[in-house]
Amino acid sequence: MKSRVYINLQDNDYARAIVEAIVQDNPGAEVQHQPSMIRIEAEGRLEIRRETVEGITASPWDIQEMLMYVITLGGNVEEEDDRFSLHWNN
Amino acid sequence: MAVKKRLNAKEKYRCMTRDLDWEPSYQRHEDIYPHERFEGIKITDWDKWEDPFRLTMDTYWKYQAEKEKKLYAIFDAFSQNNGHTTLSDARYVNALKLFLSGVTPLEYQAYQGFARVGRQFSGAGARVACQMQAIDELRHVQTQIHAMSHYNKHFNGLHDFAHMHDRVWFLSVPKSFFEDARTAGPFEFLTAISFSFEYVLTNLLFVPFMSGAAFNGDMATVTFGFSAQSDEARHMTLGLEVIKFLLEQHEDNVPIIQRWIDKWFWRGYRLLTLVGMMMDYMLPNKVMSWSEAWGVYFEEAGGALFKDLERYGIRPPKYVEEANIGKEHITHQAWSIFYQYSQATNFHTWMPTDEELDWLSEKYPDTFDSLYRPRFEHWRALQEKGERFYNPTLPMLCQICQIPLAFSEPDDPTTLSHRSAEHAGERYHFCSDGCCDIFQYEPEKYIQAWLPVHQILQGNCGGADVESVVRDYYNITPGEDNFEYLGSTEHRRWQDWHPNDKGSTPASPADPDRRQTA
Repeated sequence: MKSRVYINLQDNDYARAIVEAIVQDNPGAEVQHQPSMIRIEAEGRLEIRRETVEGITASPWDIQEMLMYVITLGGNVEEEDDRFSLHWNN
Repeated sequence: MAVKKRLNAKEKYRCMTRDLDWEPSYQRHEDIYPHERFEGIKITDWDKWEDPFRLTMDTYWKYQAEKEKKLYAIFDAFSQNNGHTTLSDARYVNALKLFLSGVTPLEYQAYQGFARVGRQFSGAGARVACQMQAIDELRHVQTQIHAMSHYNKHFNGLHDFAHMHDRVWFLSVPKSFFEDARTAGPFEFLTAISFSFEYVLTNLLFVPFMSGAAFNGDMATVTFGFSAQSDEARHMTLGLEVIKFLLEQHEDNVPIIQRWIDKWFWRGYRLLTLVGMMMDYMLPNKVMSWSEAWGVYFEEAGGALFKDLERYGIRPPKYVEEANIGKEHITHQAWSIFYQYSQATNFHTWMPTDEELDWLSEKYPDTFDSLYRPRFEHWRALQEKGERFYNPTLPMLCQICQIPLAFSEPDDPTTLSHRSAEHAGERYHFCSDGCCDIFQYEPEKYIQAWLPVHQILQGNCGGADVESVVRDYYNITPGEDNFEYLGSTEHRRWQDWHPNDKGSTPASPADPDRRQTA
């Protein structure tokens, strides 16, 4: 079994569109609602795509802005202009 | 000619970070970066340093400013609405006292540490990351002090946290942890703080504290915590990148890094005992037990991490098995220490209510009922008779973690774990093999430890009795800031605010010692 990557976001309006986008783009992702935060886990890899988020909010989205609402994460981070991903190499 | 409208994040980062660096021509490299070699770490190419977050300074300021505006708006709202009166219970504030005097000063030490190592690396990527983290840490100190200043108007024990951090016996545990890291070389500092602490363990400090605050009505703490955590994601990632970079640079780095990981895992694990105790005993509304948090944030998350590092020849930290066994014991043992020595703390302690004892029994089915519940019930019975127990002796401290020797053997929870080693004709004492190993590798460093109990006995902390040390040297007001919670001035004040709250009625008479000194 692959190791699980995770990201915890503050549970607020801003995060809801991101969570929706993650669920669309990562069919295996598991969303947990915890006190004041949302935790998303996935096996091996998790991707957040700018296009999907923008499709949901209908407004331009800057990936670096998301970091204001990240509580914690696990996995190797890759940040590009149009996507943010987490992965383990095992 | 077509002009490209704007640089993408990668290009912008390269232009505004790496491209601003230059090769010195009239000074020698090793004179400019004198700390880069003595630890034995070999760097062949700093350009291989990867920056996962391509954050440039201008973007950094923009987002940090936005975080601050949001945060201070909430602080204002919290104090304008008397947020302190709608907490779950005043006992909760004791967790904040522990945080302000134990953790906030560490944020300041982190700022100092990152400012120093940021200066000492010749790689521009590492320097910028450390510089941003140094500024983050300074922001955390300031926001925490501001958040708690509201509580200081209404509760005891928060009045002189920096002074206490430098002097009070149990605060030497966090203080010495960070001083140990800061007096190491720059690469050990990053392995200790960025990797072992920030990446591997920090979730166990902040996430439970913040969820605990959310569950107990403390809006100010939730907000500063989340604001700090948004920086933390960057710090954790730096920690992981540092380790991967050092391991990829040269195979000779592997055994050095492994030894640091072993050491700093154990140091961090011991330090987090205080957090575990806070979660299991100091939150009136519980979030999760220490044992559960350890399972999620260390055993699962750490398991994935160390599996990823296997390819470099790194194995999980040496005493990880002992830590996994300890998760069922350490919080109960630590609360026992603080309950007994509450005459010398800046916060109150108490025995768990029946409901809380049942919660502990449920969360610790293999250990609580057989080992700890009987002790707590005994103490509660004494308290009900008006004989609340305080330990009048001074405990023996571990030379490394500085926690009183009160942990049990990993394979026998009824035997005290005690190790000792001789160095230059003197015998030194430790709580565990983990701490003893750390000493034996660098005895000359640790024989200099400032152990609070030794210092009291040597007469370096003022008076000849505990009460005068606590009052005059620690600046803790006996009968106000310390002793039992039930019947304390803080407890009575809370009852005045909530005359109809039967849940906060004392279950037993006020503490006789407290009345004597009040």
